[in-house]
Amino acid sequence: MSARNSFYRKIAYGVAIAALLFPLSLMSSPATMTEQGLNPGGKLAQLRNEYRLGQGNLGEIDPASETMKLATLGLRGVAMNLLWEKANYYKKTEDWSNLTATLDQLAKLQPNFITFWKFQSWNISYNLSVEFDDYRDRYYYVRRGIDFLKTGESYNQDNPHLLWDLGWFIGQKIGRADEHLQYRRLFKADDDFHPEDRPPEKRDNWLVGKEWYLTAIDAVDNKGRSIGKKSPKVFYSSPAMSQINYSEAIEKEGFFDKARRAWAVAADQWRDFGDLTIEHSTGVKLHLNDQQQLEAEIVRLTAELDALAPGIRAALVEEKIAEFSDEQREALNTDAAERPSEQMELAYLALQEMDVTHREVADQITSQQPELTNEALKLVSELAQVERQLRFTVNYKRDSNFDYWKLRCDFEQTPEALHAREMMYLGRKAFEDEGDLVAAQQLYDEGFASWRDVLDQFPALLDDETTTGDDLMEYITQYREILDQLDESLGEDFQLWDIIESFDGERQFAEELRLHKQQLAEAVDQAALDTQPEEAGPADEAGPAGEADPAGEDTASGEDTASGKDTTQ
Amino acid sequence: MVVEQHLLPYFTWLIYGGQNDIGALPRFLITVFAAAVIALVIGYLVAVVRYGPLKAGDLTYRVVTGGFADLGRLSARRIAALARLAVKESIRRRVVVALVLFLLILLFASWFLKTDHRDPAKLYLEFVLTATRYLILMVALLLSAFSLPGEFKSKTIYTIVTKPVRAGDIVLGRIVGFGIVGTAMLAVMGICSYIFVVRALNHRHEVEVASLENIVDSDGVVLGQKGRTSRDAYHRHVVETDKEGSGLAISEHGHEHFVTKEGPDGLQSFETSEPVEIMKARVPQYGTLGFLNRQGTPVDKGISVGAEWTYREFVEGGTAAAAVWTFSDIDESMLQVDENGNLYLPIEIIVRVFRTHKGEIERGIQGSVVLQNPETELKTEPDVFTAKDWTIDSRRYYWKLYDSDDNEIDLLDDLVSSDGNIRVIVQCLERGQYYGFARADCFIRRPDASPLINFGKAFSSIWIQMILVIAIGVTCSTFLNGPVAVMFTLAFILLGFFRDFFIRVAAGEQVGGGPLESLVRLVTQKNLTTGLEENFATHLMYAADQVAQVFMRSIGFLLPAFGSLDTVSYVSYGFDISWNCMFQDLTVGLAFTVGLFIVGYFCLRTREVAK
Repeated sequence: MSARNSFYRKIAYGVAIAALLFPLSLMSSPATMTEQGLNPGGKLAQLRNEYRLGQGNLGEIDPASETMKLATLGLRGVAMNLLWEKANYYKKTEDWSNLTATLDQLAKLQPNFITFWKFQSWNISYNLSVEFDDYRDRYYYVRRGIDFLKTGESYNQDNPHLLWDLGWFIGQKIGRADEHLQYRRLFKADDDFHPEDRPPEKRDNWLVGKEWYLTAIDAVDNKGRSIGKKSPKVFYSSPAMSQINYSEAIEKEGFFDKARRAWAVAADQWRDFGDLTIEHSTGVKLHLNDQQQLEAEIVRLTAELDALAPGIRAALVEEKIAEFSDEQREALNTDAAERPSEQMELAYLALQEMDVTHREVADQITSQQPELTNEALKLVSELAQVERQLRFTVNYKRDSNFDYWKLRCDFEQTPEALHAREMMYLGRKAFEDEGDLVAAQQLYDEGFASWRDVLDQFPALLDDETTTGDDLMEYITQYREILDQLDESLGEDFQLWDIIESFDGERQFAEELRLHKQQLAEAVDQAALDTQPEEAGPADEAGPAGEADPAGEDTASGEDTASGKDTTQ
Repeated sequence: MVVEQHLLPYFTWLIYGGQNDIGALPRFLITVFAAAVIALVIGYLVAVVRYGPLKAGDLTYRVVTGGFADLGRLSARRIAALARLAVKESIRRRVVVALVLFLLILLFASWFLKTDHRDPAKLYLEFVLTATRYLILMVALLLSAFSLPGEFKSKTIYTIVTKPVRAGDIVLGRIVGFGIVGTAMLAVMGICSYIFVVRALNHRHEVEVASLENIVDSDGVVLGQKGRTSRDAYHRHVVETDKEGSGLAISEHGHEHFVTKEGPDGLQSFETSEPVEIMKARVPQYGTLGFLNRQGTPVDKGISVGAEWTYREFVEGGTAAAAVWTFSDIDESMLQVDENGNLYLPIEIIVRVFRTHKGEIERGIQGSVVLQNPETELKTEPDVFTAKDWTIDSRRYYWKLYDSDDNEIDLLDDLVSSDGNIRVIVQCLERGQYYGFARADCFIRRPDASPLINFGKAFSSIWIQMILVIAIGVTCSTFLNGPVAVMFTLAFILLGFFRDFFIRVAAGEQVGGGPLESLVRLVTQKNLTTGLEENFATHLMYAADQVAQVFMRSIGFLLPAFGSLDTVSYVSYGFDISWNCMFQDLTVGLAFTVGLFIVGYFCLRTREVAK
């Protein structure tokens, strides 16, 4: 090999390297910001940006974090394991400053591991905080957990899980803890937490939590992020629920003017939630507000199906009934209230068997009028789809308690409800803070009268699936404390006996209710007596009188009860 | 501060030992004797194989007598010369790079360390001390382990052994030389660390004048002002001042600031001082702890509230249950003087509160402290306090106190027994709530020591560990090559750090079994508590483990307990490292160094180098 050949070869290599540098720089030049704006850089940088693969796409780039990762020299996993063990050890030995410092180190090593942020921020806010006795110390660590999560969010921008968790921590941990009164107060006064442009009235934990929920939703809807396995109804209902919780909270604190507006906003937001398109786990798109519409659609389609061949459905029912056994028929013919237990099951099963499906109707139409087959099957298919949609909608509504919260938002903003709550609040204040029993009683009486109006206006509140009844029971229990101190008891003019009857699960008012029912029965009997015809003879008079005698004795005590003074107590 | 193992007085530790242990000196002598016998036996057996029994006996005798005679003829001049050589060698091997590395770590530490913790001093002190410790031990390891093997390899050892130096001079000269280098580096690191910590923690605040509100008494007279400072170093303080504008930024994040008014009267402008007492060195005098149960009967233990960590035990509130500390040697020297010249006994208590129900959230749990004479059982009236969970509560008991019948009593004359003891009885007053205590949670606070000297003491502990590592490294290098000596020394260090765990495995007390069983569990991915199948293989495994554990127990005696030499927690928690602790550590260090030196001497002596 001559020196000349070697030289030529070196020249060729040099030229090839130079030539390759051009496509290399085109491919790998980084994205930069110039005076003219963003230069997207080479192909690799563009792909990195498009598929969000770069560290900068994930979130903040932290040189300390990168340094620490490099410094582990490939043993990052080992280092992380050791640090996790240390963190657990510090938690066990109650060394809180070392625990938080270790978590900071772990955060540098695994900044993009979402579960780490969720786990440890929960650890700080929920587990660590309760180790302290002073509520201020507890708040400090609740806040520290929230700050930790915010740091995680900065490393993982637009991550809906972290954003949602921020809303949850700020809303639920501060607003639902046993120390919620103290936490809410501290949160409002926490100048170091709130940005300077946040006005004082917006410093409510529920409202701040709601902002984070909305940011999480924005990340999903507008930035293409996924909520993964999180339930969409929980995810999307969170801002509205936060607003509802805010409204409840400020009512409890006595701000009824603000509460009215807050409930109105809550009603709007809950309605908006109902109008949102939510994807069911099967992929079906739902709108929770569409239940009535779907039911109407089913009625229409059913009518259309029946109209194809009138009478077929009834005939099918008759056929099915004809196949029932005698026992089944007897069970069906017996009045529901009088059925013995063995008949109840028979009747239930019989009713189920009696149910004629749309498919059966369609099959019957097909067999009798084959020319209507296509149309019938099309209607059956449509009905199946709509029924499935209705079923999913009803299930999701039940899971999110949609109807209850809708009802709650509607009734809470009425003047009667606000007045009722205000009276309860003032009554409680008069009792606990001022010790004015008489004033407290009057306020509660006025409040219960308003509650009566509310319940009459919204009878669905008496449904035992709502919690308003339980709330009212709390008020009634508080009212009874006042009456006890006044040596009085619940009078016959008490307006919420039906609430006690339906919602006194612990039977605290069993005795009062029994007496009340007795009073009612006597009153009914007395009224019946008063409406007896005048030709009733002495014997007849003796009869009712004889019956009335025990009642009369009871009436005497009942009169005492009705006046609100139960001397037997 | 968490004190799991209380120190015995020096001579008790040295001669008699504690409850379940013999004194350090007897243990050292037994270990040395046992090691010597084993070495002699092994040496004799090896010699028997090579030379036959008679010659082996003669050789062994000569090695032993000659060796000890040689040791008696060590020369300070020669040792100094060899130490100088070791220093030059270290500098040539660029040991200063470690200092540069340390400075780099300090420079970039702010990237990783923040002052946004509740006790930033603790974190910073732990960081500098731990970083120094690991770095200096690594330097000591590399310097000492490669030195002799390197000289053997490059044959420069012949230039030394051909001179009239003894093996003992070589070994000791190296230990001393590397010790000097390490000490110099440690001194530089110590100064830099202290400056770093002080600078990092140093900060001031502005008083937010807009936040100031008047404090008035019931007659409306203005007594002072209350407000807050600006937020600096991730925190702010509540400020309380008197009418003249002087006051305090109340303790937050482990420190406070003095506040003084500056500027002319009428102008609200304040200045805060640098942090006060951010680094402390409390000198505690501990007592012994006992408990009374809810009937008031003395018991060994308190109640467990279910915590995994059983460091603290609890007393039930609203009952006769109490934690009782007994302090000894109480006399006038224990008392301190307050700002008005009155004498008082300063007692500090750390209470851990456990609530079984929330109660009043905004109010702490109340307890009481009573002082009692153990002989006469005379008690003071209860000093009721509200527990400050997780905080050291300082209480003062003045010379004149009152008993439960409101009679005046004298602290020293009436409450201290004839043998100088006093009892401190702490109870929780609220039913359904608990107070938790460990022995170290109540102490008499002696006058504080100097934080700077305390910092120096912590570095002294690191120095002792460094000397140990040097001694181990030099000893290993007398009979092993460089990399193997490094591995051997590293293993020694690691086992020393995990000595307690090692001993627990050796004693069969560690969950998960012995070394072989642990390996089997790792490979088969069985957790620590799952039972293993009973068959021949597992029985063989258990038998092998038992043999291994015998060796491990023997090795465990020889391992230095680096954990107990660690005094970082004293400094980081703000407690003084007692001279008792220092002397014990020094004694341990000296014992290991002497022992290792003798082993190293014999190893080098028996090695055939230019004979």
